[in-house]
Amino acid sequence: MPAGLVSRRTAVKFASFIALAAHSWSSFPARAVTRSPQGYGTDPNLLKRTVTWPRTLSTRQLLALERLCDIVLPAEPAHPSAAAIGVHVFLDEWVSAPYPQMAADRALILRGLTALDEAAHSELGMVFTAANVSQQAAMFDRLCSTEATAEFSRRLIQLVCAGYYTTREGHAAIGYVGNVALTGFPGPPAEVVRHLDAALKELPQTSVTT
Amino acid sequence: MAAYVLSHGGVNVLLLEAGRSYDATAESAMFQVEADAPLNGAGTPDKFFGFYDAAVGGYEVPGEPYTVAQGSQFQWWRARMLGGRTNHWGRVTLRYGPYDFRTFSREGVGVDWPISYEDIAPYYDRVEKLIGVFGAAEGIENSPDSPPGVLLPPPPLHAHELWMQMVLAKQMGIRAVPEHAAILTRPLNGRPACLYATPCSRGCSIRANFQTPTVLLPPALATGHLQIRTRAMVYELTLDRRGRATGVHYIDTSTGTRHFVRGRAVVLAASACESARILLNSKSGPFPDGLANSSGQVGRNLTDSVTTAVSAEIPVLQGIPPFNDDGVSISHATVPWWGHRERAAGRLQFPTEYHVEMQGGRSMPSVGMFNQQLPNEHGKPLYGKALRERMRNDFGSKVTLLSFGGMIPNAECRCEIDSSVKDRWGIPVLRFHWKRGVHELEQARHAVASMSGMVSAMGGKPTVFTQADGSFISTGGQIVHEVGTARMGAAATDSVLNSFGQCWDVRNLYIADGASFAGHADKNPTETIMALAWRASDHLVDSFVRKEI
Repeated sequence: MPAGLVSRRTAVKFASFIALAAHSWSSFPARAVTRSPQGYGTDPNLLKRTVTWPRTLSTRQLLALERLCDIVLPAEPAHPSAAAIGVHVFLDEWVSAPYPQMAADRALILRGLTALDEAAHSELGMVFTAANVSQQAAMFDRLCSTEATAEFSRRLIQLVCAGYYTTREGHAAIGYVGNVALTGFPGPPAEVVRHLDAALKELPQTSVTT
Repeated sequence: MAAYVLSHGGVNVLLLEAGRSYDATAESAMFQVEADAPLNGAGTPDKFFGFYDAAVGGYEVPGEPYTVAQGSQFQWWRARMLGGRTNHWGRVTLRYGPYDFRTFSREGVGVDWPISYEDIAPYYDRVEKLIGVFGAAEGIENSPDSPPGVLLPPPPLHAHELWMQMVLAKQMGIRAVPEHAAILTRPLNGRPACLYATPCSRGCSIRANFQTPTVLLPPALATGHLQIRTRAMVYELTLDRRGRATGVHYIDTSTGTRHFVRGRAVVLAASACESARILLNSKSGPFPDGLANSSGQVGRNLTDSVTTAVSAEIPVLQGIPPFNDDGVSISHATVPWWGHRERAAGRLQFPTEYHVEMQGGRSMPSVGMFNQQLPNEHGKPLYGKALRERMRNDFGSKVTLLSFGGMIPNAECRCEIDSSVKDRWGIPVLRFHWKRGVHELEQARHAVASMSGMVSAMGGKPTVFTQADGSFISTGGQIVHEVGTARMGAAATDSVLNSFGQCWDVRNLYIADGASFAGHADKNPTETIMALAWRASDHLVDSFVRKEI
């Protein structure tokens, strides 16, 4: 049951992020939520994508994330950008979810968006979303290099990758070509085996002990 | 397993399941990608192992708490569905070896089992033939081969496993061999072979992996001797004046009503700790400390596998052109314990064995893959075109080695009733005590060093997995291999069960889950649980025939 060991780390993070979530704040006005959202429960229908909580980001917050999605993973030939396949909507679903990890991410993401707005005001006299694409990219780049906002940029990049590469479009972009029924498993192709054979020959003969 | 064997033996069986009914053929999410799920399938407190995990249950079950003694850490994973943990398990199907039944005789610690490998081997054969297990005969000390014709052919190794196999053989003289797993690589008993896509943990709608509801219960029902009642939470066993079990009390969790069913015999198979809980909550004049507990051993000797993990990026696996490396979704290779010579020479400081399994490769991307350090240069995270290129280049190159080791029971690892806390049904809950022994800590240190050497030899820079508290060893219950809470033994004074899983104190009460284990080897426990359950059930059928019960 190896998954348990790795997942425990996530569980611990859930707990440690509860305190952070209590301090969630933002200069961006969020949508009003009129009811307490519930999670999907411990026994949801696995064949149906039912999201039981409302998305709560404001139009401007969502637009800012849409721009950031295209900065983190822009389009390249044959592969759409993160925003083109709606990763910003995934981010809205994520930071609106009624779970501690997501609540902690919400606090972090909204702080980052506020920092971007403050930078835009300071440098350009406008909000982040009003800046042009190259100005937005430059501001995000500076956030990546600034210690106070590095945590935001790293987590945003993680979440954009998670939202992108778990889609069919993302599979094509990263080179995942499985999830298709086979009558038999052939193993790695001959060219891969040759590559490994060649690499093995280059290894030193010295024995490694444990 | 007990219901299958007993019903085929002509015994009328009523199976009581605490959770809901479950139909893997209708409920499994087979070809959905993670993005088809809420939060793109990420794990949450509601679905700990991800949205698509087939399990109904987890480390936390709403309304069913447990407590942990001060200074201890323990997690209790529970299933609340027909088929229980067999819907969730990793499908790794390893036989205990001859040494594993003689721990005290060989190492001077723990206890010997009251049975030998030869006693259980025929049942391993039967289990493997019935459920379908792939693997190969490799002639490895204390990792028994199956007889010819029993196992199905193993699939070829994944690319990362092939590299590990090549490197370990050349650089370290250690063998990586085909895994043994309960997944069909050939059709068997009307079940089709695996289609080499979609993770087993989601459940298998074509019945190619082993889950009780798809493999054991349909033929058991077909005998006409099995009835199944779900949402039936058993909480107490009853005795007659002669000390025989008369039946069980249970709560219908859909209505909250209480019921009693009578039986000529009772077989407990509720999972190691839940079975102990039922016994400890079944107090009576003859058994004030819990049913079948004259030895005082019920709830004691609790063990779980000792696991450590080491990860690395392997450069030789980077930049490889895309190819389908899904396979059967679990590891195709394992590294059986290789330290027998070292132990014989007295160079090891621990008496247990461990084996190494490997995760990684080009499996379907999940959210968890990105919840870790992503590429950066000069301390600045990559993004844009450079990130795309790195993600594509590095995909499939991350590997994680995991050690699974045996554990010596100790007095500080146990469960008992916490009478101050009751669950939503009013049933007193368990309190867990846990402390790893010195043997396990030494084993874990050795495993981390060994696996670091392995990934270094493969060309990677090892990162040792650590928990939030800085520990590098799994906590109790985390690996969901807990066993031993009603152990079998040679004498009624220090064990709960005889060698057939029959209670010394109550002759028509059997235990057919991991509670019966007298020791904890490195091998994953499921196949031994099934083999022992089959052996116990045969004994019960024979006892009925001989009119001993």
